[in-house]
Amino acid sequence: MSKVWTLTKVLFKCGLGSSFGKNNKKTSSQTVRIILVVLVGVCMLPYIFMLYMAGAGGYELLAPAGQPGLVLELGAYVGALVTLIFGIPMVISVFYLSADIEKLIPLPVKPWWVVCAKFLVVLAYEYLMTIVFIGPLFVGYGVASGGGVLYWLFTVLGILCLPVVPLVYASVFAMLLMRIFRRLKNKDFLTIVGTMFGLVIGFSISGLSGYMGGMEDSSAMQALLLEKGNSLAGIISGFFPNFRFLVRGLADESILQMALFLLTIAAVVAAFLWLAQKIYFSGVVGMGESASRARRMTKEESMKLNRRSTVQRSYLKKEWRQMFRTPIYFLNCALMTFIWPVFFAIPLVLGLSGAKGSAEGMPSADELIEGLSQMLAEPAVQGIILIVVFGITVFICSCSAAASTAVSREGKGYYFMKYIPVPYEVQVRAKVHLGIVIGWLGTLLYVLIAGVMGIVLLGLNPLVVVFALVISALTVVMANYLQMLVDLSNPKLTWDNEQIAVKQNMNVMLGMVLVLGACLVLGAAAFLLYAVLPLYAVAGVMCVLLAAADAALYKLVPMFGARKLAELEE
Amino acid sequence: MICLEQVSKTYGKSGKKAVDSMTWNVEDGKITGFIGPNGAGKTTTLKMITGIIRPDEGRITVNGHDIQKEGLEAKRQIGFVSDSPDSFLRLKGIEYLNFMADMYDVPTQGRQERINEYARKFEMEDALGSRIQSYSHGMRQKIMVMGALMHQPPVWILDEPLTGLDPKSAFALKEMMKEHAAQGKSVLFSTHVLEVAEKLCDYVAIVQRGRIVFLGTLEELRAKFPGEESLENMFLELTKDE
Repeated sequence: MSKVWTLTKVLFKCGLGSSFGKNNKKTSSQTVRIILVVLVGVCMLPYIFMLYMAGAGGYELLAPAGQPGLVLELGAYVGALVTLIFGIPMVISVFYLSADIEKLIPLPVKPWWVVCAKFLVVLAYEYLMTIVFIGPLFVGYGVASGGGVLYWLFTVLGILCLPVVPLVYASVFAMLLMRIFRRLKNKDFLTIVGTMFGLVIGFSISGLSGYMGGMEDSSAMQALLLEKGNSLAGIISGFFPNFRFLVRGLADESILQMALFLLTIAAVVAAFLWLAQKIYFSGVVGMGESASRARRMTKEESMKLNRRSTVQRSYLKKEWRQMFRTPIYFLNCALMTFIWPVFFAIPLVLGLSGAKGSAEGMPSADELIEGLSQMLAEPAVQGIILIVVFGITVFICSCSAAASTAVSREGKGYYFMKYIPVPYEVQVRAKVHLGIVIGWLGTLLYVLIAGVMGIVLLGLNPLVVVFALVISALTVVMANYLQMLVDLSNPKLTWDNEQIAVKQNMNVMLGMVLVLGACLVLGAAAFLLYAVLPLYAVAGVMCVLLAAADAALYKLVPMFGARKLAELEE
Repeated sequence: MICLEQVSKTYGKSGKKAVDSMTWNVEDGKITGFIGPNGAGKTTTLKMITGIIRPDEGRITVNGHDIQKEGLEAKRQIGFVSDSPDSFLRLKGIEYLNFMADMYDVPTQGRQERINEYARKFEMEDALGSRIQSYSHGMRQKIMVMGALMHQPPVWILDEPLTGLDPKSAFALKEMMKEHAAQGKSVLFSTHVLEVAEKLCDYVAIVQRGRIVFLGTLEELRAKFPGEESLENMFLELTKDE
């Protein structure tokens, strides 16, 4: 066990290096970063307060029915799902793609030691999320219920243990995937497809859990409800059946229930490590290999490739290839941008397929279309459409780390940017343009499809679609330049694992806050304008404002970048 | 020609100079070896010449272009091979070469022939269609050398270029350096391997603690140590701690 601990400590030091840790230089950009970090904290406060109130309010609401534990269970369930969904790409990158694997395999270590150490590293990272998601809710509940010492003790234990089972699911999925397809040469492709598949499963679980809990049987549920004493515990948990012990342990401050919760976790972990011992190494060996065809290119192939291209185009192409061929970059910087509609579709499809009975009482398709057409003729509804498009675009852009890690991704090889005879401004723009292209592909395409369907099927005013497209396009540009600004101010270049460049890079969070802040201001301005101007005028003003912001950023960010890159000496 | 005039560089706040008032010229048509123990300031000097880092004092010109004031023009003169070939790993060899060619405005005409010629010399014909990630260390080194030569630079700077190369590739590289110099272009490379310097260099610059302690031909070096045959002993004598 001591070797597992030693291994864990080493992996912690290598894998969870702080963004601020190594650089002792006190620079102005670091001061800016500290201010931004504080800003992130401040921005989180309303959210934390909201969760606190949800815990306290939920208790007040459900206590009279004898089911206050449902609040805790819902919190635990949502936290577990978030852990599962974020955990899948993280487990794949830490277990299978990190650079330390090639150093660890030749050592006389057992597979389960390595997996155990890596699991603890991922777990520690997940705690940040669990504490923010679950902590305030449990605290709110505890304060409202006047929880005793045992409640608080169990809360700490619960938060520590909660991410374990979802992470075990993510790890088992990753290990099986890599074991089954171990002969596949193109591991990069496998990782990307596997992660996408895993995410779809993760989201499907969120939709299916309700049915597993037996919520469809209303008479049985009524009977449970009448029993009181948190008899509904376990109804939501579905794929996390041991949460019922945690809920009862917390709500009733029961040592027995808590012990059962811990025992189930211990059993799951033991089974997981046993499986790891059996299959981990057979999946991880050869991960460093990439698809390679030692084949002489034909003259035609060479002729096609060996053509002069403009510097801008060639640089963008290089950025694009590196992004889409590096699984960790693709998963963190581009994937969500492309597949977000799937995650909206899954609950919808599951909801429709789960809806019992026939179409009795439901309006017919024609009636539905007519009703929607009437709704869409209302200026207020059209305004909501534009706000939704703006909101989704902002969300998609803030989720993407393409621009906020654009320089960081160069790592120690950043120096090529300094010795090639290409102006820094051109290089900065090429890097931002990658984020913009990804952003446009992930938003404009969907807006266009939805817009055309709206026009054809529901008679939506084409002007709304045009405004939606323009607003979305300009927002993507603004967001990417803002995110680039953050990364230029202090890129994270010291890393030996691609994951650190994107997953453990504060610039991603700071870029997100900056984009959300700027868009919040613009959104508020639009809201105020709507009180005095008609909808299309407001939309027009918004387009002008966004275009002006884009023009300014297009000029200023590369200028700032040129200064920072010239100063850059690692 | 590369000219360094009173160039100094200090890292951090310690005040210790990594490069200290360095003044020397790298002549055209010659191969200059840059030799020194670890941490002597070789890489720092090469990085300053290529524009990667800025000198605190002094001036560097490449074929008459000041690297600070006319950075782009000076950089166009240089083909640089760094000591770490682990870059651009997700690109295919051929994609990397074309990327570098585009960065240096190499026209389409002649590109194919140049790539074919370098690939043949380094026996890389079958590897160009594969990703650099799948290359061995030596192959990565070779593709970096090929990339640096795509624009046929008048000045060629290589940081530890022979590390990891198999004997045949090392021989090919040395021949290319000789050909390059024979065309009247300048070649500057750093190395730890004294035998290579002895056989290849027209000039050697020996650096110790950021200062040039010897600059001249090997004959001049031998004249400085009469009776001493071993270059290694001469080097050790020049770089011994005072």
